[in-house]
Parts: sequence; structure tokens; C-alpha cells
Amino acid sequence: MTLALIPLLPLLGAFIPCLFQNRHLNAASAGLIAGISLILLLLQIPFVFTGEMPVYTRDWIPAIGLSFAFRVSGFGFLFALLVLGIGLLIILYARYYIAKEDPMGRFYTYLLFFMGSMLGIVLSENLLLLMVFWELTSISSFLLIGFWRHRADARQGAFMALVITGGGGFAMLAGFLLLGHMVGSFELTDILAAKQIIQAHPLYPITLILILVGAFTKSAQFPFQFWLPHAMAAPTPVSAFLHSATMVKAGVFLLALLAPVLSGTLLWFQIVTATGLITLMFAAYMALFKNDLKGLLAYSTVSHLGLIVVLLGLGTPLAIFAAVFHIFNHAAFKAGLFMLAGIIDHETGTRDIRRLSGLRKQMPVTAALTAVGCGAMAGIPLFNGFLSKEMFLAETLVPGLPGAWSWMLPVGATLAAVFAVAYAVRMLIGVFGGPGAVDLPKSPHEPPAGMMVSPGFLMGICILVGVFPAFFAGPLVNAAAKSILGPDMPMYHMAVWHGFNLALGLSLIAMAGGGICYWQRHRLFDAHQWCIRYLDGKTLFETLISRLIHDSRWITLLIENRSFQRYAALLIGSTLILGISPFLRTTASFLGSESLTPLDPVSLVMGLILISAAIATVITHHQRILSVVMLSTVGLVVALAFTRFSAPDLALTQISVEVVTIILMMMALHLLPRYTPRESSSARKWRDFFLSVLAGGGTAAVLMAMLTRPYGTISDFFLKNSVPGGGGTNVVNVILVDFRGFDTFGEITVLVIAGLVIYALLHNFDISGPAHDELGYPWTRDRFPVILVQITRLLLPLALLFSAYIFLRGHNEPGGGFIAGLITAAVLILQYIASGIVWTRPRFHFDNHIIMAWGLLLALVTGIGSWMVGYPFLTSTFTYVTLPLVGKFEVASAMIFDLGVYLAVVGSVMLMLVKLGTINSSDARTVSTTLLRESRTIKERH
Amino acid sequence: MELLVAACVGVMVACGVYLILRARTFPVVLGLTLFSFGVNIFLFSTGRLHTNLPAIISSTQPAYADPLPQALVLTAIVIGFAMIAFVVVLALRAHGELDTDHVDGERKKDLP
Amino acid sequence: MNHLIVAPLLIPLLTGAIIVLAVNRYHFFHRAVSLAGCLILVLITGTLLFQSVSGPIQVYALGNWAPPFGIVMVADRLSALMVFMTALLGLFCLMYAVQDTDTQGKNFHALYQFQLMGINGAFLTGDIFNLFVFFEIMLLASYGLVLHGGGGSRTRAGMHYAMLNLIGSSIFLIGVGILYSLLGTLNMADLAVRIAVVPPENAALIRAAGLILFGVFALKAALVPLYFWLPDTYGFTGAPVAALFAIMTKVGVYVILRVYTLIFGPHAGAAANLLAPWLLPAA
Repeated sequence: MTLALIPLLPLLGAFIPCLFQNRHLNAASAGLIAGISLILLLLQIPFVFTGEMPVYTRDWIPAIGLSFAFRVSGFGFLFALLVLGIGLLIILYARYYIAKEDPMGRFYTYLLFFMGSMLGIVLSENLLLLMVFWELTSISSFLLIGFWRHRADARQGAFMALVITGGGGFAMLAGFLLLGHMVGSFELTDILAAKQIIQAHPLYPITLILILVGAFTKSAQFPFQFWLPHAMAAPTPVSAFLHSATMVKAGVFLLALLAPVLSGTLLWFQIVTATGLITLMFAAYMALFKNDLKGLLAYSTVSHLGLIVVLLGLGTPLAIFAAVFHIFNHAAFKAGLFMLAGIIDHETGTRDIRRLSGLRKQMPVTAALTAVGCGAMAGIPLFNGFLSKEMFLAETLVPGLPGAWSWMLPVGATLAAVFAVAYAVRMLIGVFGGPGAVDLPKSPHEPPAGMMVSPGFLMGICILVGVFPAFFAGPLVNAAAKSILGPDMPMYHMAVWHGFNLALGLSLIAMAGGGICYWQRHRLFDAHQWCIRYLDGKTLFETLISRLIHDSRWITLLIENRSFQRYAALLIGSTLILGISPFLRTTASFLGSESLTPLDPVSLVMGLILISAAIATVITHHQRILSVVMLSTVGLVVALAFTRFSAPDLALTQISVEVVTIILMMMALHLLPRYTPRESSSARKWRDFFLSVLAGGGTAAVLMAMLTRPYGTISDFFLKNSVPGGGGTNVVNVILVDFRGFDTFGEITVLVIAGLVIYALLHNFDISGPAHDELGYPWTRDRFPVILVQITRLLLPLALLFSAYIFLRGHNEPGGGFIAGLITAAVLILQYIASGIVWTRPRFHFDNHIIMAWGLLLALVTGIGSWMVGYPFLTSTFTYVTLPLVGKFEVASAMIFDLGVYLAVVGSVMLMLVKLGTINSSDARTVSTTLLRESRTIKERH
Repeated sequence: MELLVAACVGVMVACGVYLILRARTFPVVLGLTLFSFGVNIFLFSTGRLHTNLPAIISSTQPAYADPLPQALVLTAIVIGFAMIAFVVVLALRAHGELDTDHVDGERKKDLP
Repeated sequence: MNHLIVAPLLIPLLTGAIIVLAVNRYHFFHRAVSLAGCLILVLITGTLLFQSVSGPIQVYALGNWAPPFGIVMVADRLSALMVFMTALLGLFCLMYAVQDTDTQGKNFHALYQFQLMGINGAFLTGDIFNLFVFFEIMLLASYGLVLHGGGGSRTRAGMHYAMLNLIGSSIFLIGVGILYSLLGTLNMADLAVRIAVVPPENAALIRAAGLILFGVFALKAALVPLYFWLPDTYGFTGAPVAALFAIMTKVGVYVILRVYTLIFGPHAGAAANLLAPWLLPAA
């Protein structure tokens, strides 16, 4: 369990830093969480160094082979140590780096989120779990790059990184799925033991390529390297942490992890080595010409990643060992260098090498530390970078490489090393050497001591490892390499001095060449400029990419053009395709065997009315009021159809919903344009006609197919148990309040939400309706016809009584809480319409929010009531009582539930309509003032 | 009879879809309503068509219509009502805020 | 009978109802109740997750009607994990929201709670029509939250989102209707049992129903090509709501996983492995 806690702690604790407003607490809480995680990790040391591998496994979704499993191998331990160790230093550093105006809590939250995901990658035992964490690092990297949301380059960089690494993630997932398919398990232990199976499998090449694409995108290998320099728009601590020390190494990590089963084939060697070599050289060359310090470091990072990839491509035990060692070394010096670049930026206000100069006087400590970092980056003896780089050079010289590789590899590697020396020297001397810089944005001085601790610590490690490699890095790297190589562990010798050999010769050539390059850099720059001009300002690659981006944007626009009509047509079209496709391959008859029931003339007439009214709704839709009338005709015939086919409850519901809907639409039309302009092109009309005929025809055909097939249903249970189990003879109502009462429960929640949403939408919303109609006549002032007023007022008590009757008989006859509620609401609304809001509002002064809330609560309490007697939610009970006049009837707890339904319906419908009504008048403001006056007089009268 | 019901459902769905694909909010609202009418009858018909057999238990009735689809349709009607009420108000609000009732909130096609 | 299974729905509902009841009180009260509700929800779903990790799949029969006749809630590892994630994310988003965004419009907290209820219901329910109901709760509340705060582009994006999903809801009902008319049941586990023995002449219809439903779920999950509502809706809503939406799209993914491994899984006879040819390009 401790094992699982190492990644989970930062993930789950990620939200804690953003709870505080205090910057000290932000940093301290983040540091505390990372610290605990680090301690938990260090507790694993006894196992790691003895070569044991603790594993923690829990099944998660066994159906797809995903398990919640972690392990600590030596290699995983090394990575986890880098993540947590450098992470802690970054937390400290960022405390000083992040400006006061920036939300520091959020920064630490993202950072912890990233840490947890990265730890998840390196400690996962299950490949699918690893994939989950892999995607999480892409997301957290996206969030961190885009931390300065106001900057366009940050948003673009974040997006680019997400697209590239996320897209690579998909390839990787596909590769993992194939791998799991071959081995029959997603557990790493099983996969690592199945080398023969995997490499003999016909799917091996495609699997390998998919996984490589995933790893190469993440580790910014050619041709996917371009996202990393753009990611430098992130705050510098992020660049130091994610984009040099940890996340970009995830791809390398994965390659090394799977190297024992995937490597050893010619395919692996060719692809991996070639990619690494191109990246190594290309990026080292690019780094030399970067004027932005972070840009230089970014390309240098890409180049070093390429170096590691070449080593993994070679795949010999010593190469793997060197790769592991270089991962460690590079993380230490590059993270430190990034922090130092951040300090320079922070204190001078610029990162442009051309503007910076002579800072050694103002910032001596920074200069010294940078010198150490640059020494390690260039591979100068006595710094850690030298050791692993020399191992690399030695590996490129191993005999037995196929074909041209035997000379291409050492030459390429040396050339890259030359560039590396040159750009390291350029960075150091360009910034700190020469005469003092003038007109910098800020006057430079040493940063606060706290900011120096982290880079100082890392540079200390660079020197210590550089001088005493066997003591300071030996055991760790040994354990890590051993966990990858197992019994193939090579004999190695970690020391500064190996005697004179060819590798040392190459190192010396690199140093000398680098010096010359730096000395003659102006010629190089000119040559570079010439190259660029020759290629017409854009490299072939950039042209290709911009073409690609252009095309994909075009495709995206085709689908996503913010046109609702396009979206709706796509949705309906894809549903049609999905729905029709199964019938294309079937030979079974479409219609079933059941005979049809006879048609009677009345139904035929009704059906024809419905069809013509529906078509008329479409034809008249330019004249909206007429169209609504047609629609209401359709609704009425639908209600009649329900009566015709033995569904009285539905008919009642349909009628009352219909009334309220039409009132609502009419109210809305008062404020909306009365006419729809004719604007659709005829092509559009034909497309829509085609789609709608297809949709209608399809639905009708499916309905016919269904109705002619026999069927059996669970409904017999409801018919049998309605009276004995539910205490009501109206089975539909018993289903609604008892058998499937939970649906009803959800349904009144929907109504309540609708009331709330509509109220929120109309709150503080002030559009005044037209003061006159479209012919220019003013709206009649005589708004409330006397007869209508009198009738509705007389009708009110009667109607309320009727709805009470409908409610009470609901359990046994058609009716129930819904219908009663809708009738009540309709009647109350009628008062508003007839007498006006000014008269009605003070006389029915209930807050409809509260009515519907009580309705919901009543339903809830009834449901919970059954817990008291040990039954599940909404279990009903009933008994029979006899009342004078009414006679014997049964009282079910479901009726209290139904009362809740009734209240919720009344409350929400009233809330919608009254709110709509109050804005629905040409003189809304006068109404509200009159309203105030009226309510005052009424109060006075009492 | 089945054929008539299927035809009615088909026409309602087709008309509904056509209106949904129009460019102004109000026809879209009408279309959604018509579509949901059609779908409600569709759902209702899954319990097959029965004449004079309401699902109210009595000793004189030999058989009953399937009550379950009826209950489902009742729920669907009420939820549909809530949704339509919401869309109507939303259309109103959009008209007020965007100063046009075009579904994309653009004025450029706002000519009669 | 483990009432914890139904509690992830009832607690947001109760919280929401209390907030609506206290409509005239100060914001502070709404915030406090809302936060307390979320906190309790986290604790309860955490307990539920803890139970389900070790225990068997738990079924809760609402109204004490045995499945397939009544509605059931099902808590297994996956659904328990999802509700826990929802609760956790809900709490964080709310903490973020109470700093400023919640006062930009009316009824934020009540809608927020109902939204959580809808999401949890969709994760837990074992009945396909009940799933529809919870989808609607979730969607209607999300419409309200998307539009929260107002403004032209937000209204437009919200309008597209709402109208598309309304079309989707009707299509959902068509799919459920086909399934019911051929199989005569609504309980997902029971559907799976009956689908395995479906006669071959009905297979094409069943497959059509499954694919139509898949289209609807894909719309919710924003899979290609039905993702078009997502960028605008995310872009124009407030940050906390957009964060909550992240889990709403997961509802779509979850339901696809559920429905197509359970109902249309490998044992489903003629309708087996319905999705294989469709899902890969959509991912």
C-alpha cells in the first residue's frame, strides 16, 4: 500500500496548495506532500538495492485487463528519485520565481498533479495503468505550459504540446493493446518475460512502430521535436522540471523499460538509432544559433535526449548502462541550468544572449554555478556530463555495427559533441563574459539566497559525481541498470580516468573543435543565415508542417464551423447512418409475422388531420402564430390517439401539458419576431427535405417492423401486483408512484431544475415587447375583458376542487399528482392572463421556489421514511380508511409521494410562467411599480 | 391501423426534423416539440395498440393494455415539457442578448 | 440493504432542495450548505468505494421491487470509483466557484447540486430508462450552469449545446423503445440475458437500436464526429463548470463501456461486439 501511496499522495493532495491564499503556505504544503512521498520512496531502498522488486496489485477493471498495480524496480526508483528530489528543489525555487500577481496555489496544484502522474508512469506495473498516467502527464504539462493564460504564445505552446504528445499517446495505446493481445496480459512482469513470443509475432513491427511513435513524441525526437522549444513559454521552473528533467524523459524511460523485449532486432536498431542520431545532430546544431537562453537549453535538451535514444538503439549492455547514467546526469545539470537561466531572466529582464554581457561582476555566484553546468553540458572532465558522454563515445566505436553505421555513428556523435561544446561556451561567455551590458530592462544583481539553493545543490551533485562517480552515483545507477539488464549486467568501470583511448581522443577533438567553432562563430552564423535564405526562409520541414496544419484546420472548420444547422444535420445524419447500417447486411425479412388490426374510419380521419396539421406546421412556419396553432392541433390529436388506444392517463397529461406549452409559446412570441424570414437556399432546403424524409421514413419503418413482431414483457408482473402490492387499480399510476417511483422522482427533479434554470435565465433580463403591433396600431390598453375576468375568478375554486379530485382518484382511476398539478397550474395561470399580474400577484403570493422545494423534500422524506422500517428507498405501504361522503378508499404512502409530485409540478410550472409573464409586457416597469402600490394597499386593507 | 400510426409518427418526425434544421430559433423549438410528439407515440406504440383495454384493474375486463410504456411516455411527456419550456425561454434570452433570433446569433443573414 | 448506494443521489438532492427552500437567504448560507453537501458526498462515496473495492457487486432495489421489475442501482468498482471522482471533482470545483463565479447569476448552487445528482445517478443506475431520466437531470442542470452568468457568446454556445442534446434525448427514447418492444424489459442485466437468445430475424433491429444509442452516448462523450458542441461550450463557460463538464463527458464514455460490455457484450448472440468496427475510428 505504501507503494501505491507514492504516486497517489501528490495526485490526491494536489488540490491542497490552492486552498491557501498565503504564498508561504502554498509552497510549504506542496513541499510537505512531496516530502512525505519522498520518504515513502526512500523506505523502499532496502529492497531496491538488494535487487528485490516490491509489487502491489489490486484488480480494477479485470474485464479489460486494467489493474491497479505498482512496482519499484531499480530503474523506476532512480526515476522516482529524480522526480521527487528535483521536484522538491523546484518547489523551493518556484516559491521565489512565481510573481506575486500570479496564482501560486494553482501553480503548485498543477505541479503536484504532474508529479503524481509522472510517479505513476515510472512505478506502474500494469501497462494500461501506465497509459492512464501517461495521458495525465500530457494534461498536466498542458496546464503548466499554459499557466500564463494571458499570453498567446503560452496558449499556443500548450496546445501544440498537447496535440503532439496526446496524439502520440494514442499511437502508444494502440501499441500497448497489441502488446497485451500478444502476451495475454498487461502486467509488465508478464510482458518482460515474453521476449520470444513478442518478437516472433507477425504484429511485432507495427507494435514496435506504434510504441516508438508514442515514445518519440513524448521525448521530442525528430521529426516531433518542434513542440519542445514552443513549450518554453512555460514558467522556467516548469521548463526545468518537466521539459528537461522528467516528463520528456518519459519516452526514454519507456524505451529503456521495454528494451529487454523489443530491442535486439534490426528494425529496432535501425529506427531507434537513426532517429536518435538525427535528433542528436540536428538539435545540437540548432542550439548553437538560438539567441534565447531557454531556446538554447531546449534544443540542447532535445539533443541530449537524442543521445540517450542512440544508446538505447545500440542496445548493448554497456550502452544501456550509459543511457541510465546519462539520464541521471542530464537531469541534474540541465534542471540546474534552466533554473540559472530563470534567475538571469528574473534579475535582468531578458534572456537574449545578444543583449546580455559581462554579468560576472554583478552576479558572481550565478556565474560560477553556470560555469559548472555548462562544463557538464559540454562534457568537460571532472563534471558528471563528461563521464556518461565518454561512455557514449566509446559505445559508438564498438565493432560489429552493420554497414555505414560503423563510421557514421562516431562521426555524427563527435560532430554533435563539437556543437555541444560550442553552445555551452557561447552560453557561458555570452552571458557572463565581455564588457558590462547596457540598457538591460532591470539592473542586475544576485537573486535572493533561497533562489540559489536549488541550482547550487544540483551543481554540487554535478561536481561530486564528476569527481567521485563510483561513490556518489555508482550504487544507484548500478541498481537501475541491473533491473533492466538482469543477468546481462556488464563489467563497467566508473572513473574519471580510463587511460588514453579512442573515446578520450574523440572527447578532446570535440573540445578543441567546439572552441574553434565558438571562436569562428560569426562565420558559422553567416553560413547559417545563408542556408536559411537559400531555402527561401523556410525549411522544407516547416513548409510541410504549416501545410499540414492548414489542411487539418480546413477539415476541422468543415465540421466545426459554429453553425447549429450544420451540427444538427451531422447529428441526425450520423444517427441515420448508424441506424440503417445493420439492415444492409441482413437477409431476414424486415416486417414480422403478426397480423395488422383493422382500421376504422374515425381513426383514419383523425390520422389524416394529424398528418395535415403536422405538414401545415411546417408550411406555415414563417407565420409563427399560425404555426403554433397548427402544432397545438397536432398535440390535441395525439391526446385523442392516447384515448383511442386505451391510455386515458396519457391523454389527460398530454392535454394539460399542451395547454401550458401553448400558453408559454404565445407568451414568448409576444417578445420574439412574429415572422420567420425566408432565407434558406434551395440547396439547403433539399438537403433538409432529404434528411427529414429519411428520418421520418426510417422511424416509421422501424415502428412497422416492431408492431408486426410478437413480444413478451415484464408488464404482467405489474398487472398482477398492482392491487395486492401497490394498493391501486390504476396500474399506470401505481407504476409511476411505486414500481418505478424512482423515475418519477427524477422527473420532478427535472421540472424543478427547469423552473430554476428558467428563473435564472429571466432574472434581471429586460427586453420590452413591442409597444404596437406590426401594422402600427398600439396594443389595446383594455387588457382584461370583463367577462373573461369574471368567469375565470368564478372558475378558480371549482377548478381547484377538480384538481383535488383528480389527484385523489389517481391511484385507482386516471389521474394523479402530475395531472392535478398541471391543471392547478393552468388554472392559476389563467387568472394571471385574465386579470393581469397586477391583480393576481398579491392575491396568490406564494414563493414558487418554496412550493417546489417542499414538493421535492416531501417526496424525498417519503422515500427515506421506508428506511426507518428497514426497507429500501421509496418502498410503499398502504391501508384502507373509510371517510364519510367519500366512502372507503385506500391511503398509500405513495400518495404522500404523489403529493410531493403535485407540489413540485405546481411550483415549478408557476415559477416558469409567472417569471415569463412579468417580463412579458410592454410596460414592465410600470407593472412592477403598480404592483408595489397594489400590494401596499392590500396590506393596508387588512 | 398499425400502418396509420406508423405513418403519423413518420410524418411528425420528418416535419420535426425539417423544422429543427431551420435557421431561426422559434421554428427549431416547434420542430423539437413536433419531434418529441412523434417519439412519444413511437415509445407508446412499443406496447402495441390496444382498443378499449385501459390498464385499470377490474373484474370485467379480460385483458389490459401494456401499462409500462404508458408510464414511460408519461415521464417522457413531462420531461419533454420541461425541456421545451427551457428552450423557449432560452430562445427568448438569446434574442434579447444577441439581438437576433438566428440560431448562430449572427446578424448577417438577418434580412427578410 | 446498503443505503450508501442510493445516498450519492439523495444527498445532492437534499442539499439542492434545502438551497431552493432558502432562496431568499444570503449567499453565505447557500455556499455553506452547498460545500457541506459536497463534503458529505465525498465521505460517503469514499466509503462506498472502499466497500466495493473489496466486496462483491452490490445491487439496491428501489421500492423493494426485485429486478427486473423495479429500478435498481448497481455499485461495482467502476461505478463506485466514478461517483467518488465526481464527488471529489465536484468539491474542488465548488471551492473554486465560491470565490467569485457563483454570484454572477441566480440559483448556481442548487443547479450545481442537481448536476452532481444527475451525474451520480447516471453512473449508478442499472435501468436503461432510468438512465434516460438521469441524463435529463444532468443535462438540464448543465444547461443552466453553462448559461450561468450570461453574455452573448455564452448564450449562443449554450443554445447549441442544449438544442443538440435535446435532439439526442429524443433519439435516446427511440433506441430505448426499440429495445423494449423486442425484449420487453428495461433492466440492463435482464436486457443482456434476453438479448443473448434473441431470434435471428430480430437481430438487425436490435443492432440498429444499439447503434442509435451509441450515437447518443457518443454525442455526450464528444467522440468524433459528434464532438462539435464541446470546444465552444467549454470555451465560453466559467472555469469550475467547464471542469465539471470534464466528468460529464466521462458519463458518455462510461455508459458506452457499460452498455456495450454488458448488454452488447461478447455473449450477446446476434448483436455481439456491435461496436468494434465503429469505435476505433471514432477514438
